[in-house]
Amino acid sequence: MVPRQGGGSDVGGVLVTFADDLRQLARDVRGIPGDMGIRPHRVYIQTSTFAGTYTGDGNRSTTETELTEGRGNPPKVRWLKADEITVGSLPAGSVKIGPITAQHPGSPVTAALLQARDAQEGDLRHVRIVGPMHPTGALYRLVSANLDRAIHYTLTASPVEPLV
Amino acid sequence: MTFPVDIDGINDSLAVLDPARDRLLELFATAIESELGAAWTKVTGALPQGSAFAGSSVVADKLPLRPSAQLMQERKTKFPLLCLHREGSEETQPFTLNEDRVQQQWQLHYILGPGDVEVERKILDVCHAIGALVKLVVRQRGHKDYDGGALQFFPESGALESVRVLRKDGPGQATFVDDGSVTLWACTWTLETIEAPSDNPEAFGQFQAADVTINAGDGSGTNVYPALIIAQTDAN
Repeated sequence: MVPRQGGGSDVGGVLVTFADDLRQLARDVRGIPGDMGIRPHRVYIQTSTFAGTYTGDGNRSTTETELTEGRGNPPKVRWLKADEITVGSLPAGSVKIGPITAQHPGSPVTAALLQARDAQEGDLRHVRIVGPMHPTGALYRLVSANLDRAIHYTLTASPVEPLV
Repeated sequence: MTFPVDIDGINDSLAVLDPARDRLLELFATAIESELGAAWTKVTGALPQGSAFAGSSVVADKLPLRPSAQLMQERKTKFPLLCLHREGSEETQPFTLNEDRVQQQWQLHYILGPGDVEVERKILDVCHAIGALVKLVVRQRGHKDYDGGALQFFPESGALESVRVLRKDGPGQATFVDDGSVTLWACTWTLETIEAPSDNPEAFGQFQAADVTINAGDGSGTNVYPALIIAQTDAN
């Protein structure tokens, strides 16, 4: 038994902290709105690589990972209000995604994913949102990833194309 | 440029319609790597482990686009980044009876990236050297390590009649940073090119004239380019 760190325990050789326990709970709870059908927008972190000399040249290869909460449901997506856009100096149509439960054992959603840190130089990094606002999907630029809370991550993204 | 565009020369991008831009960027990048690469490697190799510049190249990344804040958000960038793009208005002036000359400004950005005081002291002066090198490359219309040392900007290699360095701004904050939170050291050079009109007699119309004076210059860019003067008389 590994000594608990902040209330954690050793599960299968992996140190599980009190925060991990809370993440499990948070992830489950954050999936409830999705169970009820009130999280209509699915969110993906997308990385695109190009085969040509410069970014944008040649064939485009895209990989994406969906951001999910409990039972595979989407996170909360909220289009920012006019005052939030003004205060944040953000483009119109910017969104806030989250809270996102990240760094949870078994979840593909990590801090590195949210910041697209695995992208190679020259790759494009986008957030793709699919739902009633964008039935065929729309790309957003990742403006900021707020990872300063252990259980409560959020992303801010601005649209690549104007919203209709 | 002739129309319609040669479709055989188009694959998956229309970037080939502006060949001068990519050639200029590659020329400058090659010259910087060739002349300053060894010195850069020597200095940055001695920087502390963990420095973003340790083990980097003097031109780690290049892009023939404007380095906007939006682009930097979308694209993962490695510093130093070299960018080149057309800037501002394109001015058209009469050149020959049937041709105009096109004057265009460009911006060349060398974006060193963020760095502490040590970086500022040890490597920021590379901007000064790049400025001198860019002027030299422009004056010589090429570099020994680019395209086999061939002279550049002729109709088959970019079609620029002349290239001139107008101004250098920096080192200072990169142009796309507007919140001032982090200093991304950068230098920007404003270039001016005159694009040579294509010598395509089929494109010229006929005109009637009498007592015409034709001035044939030396091709320096300030006078008439002699190869563009084709005169045919009609017996009628």
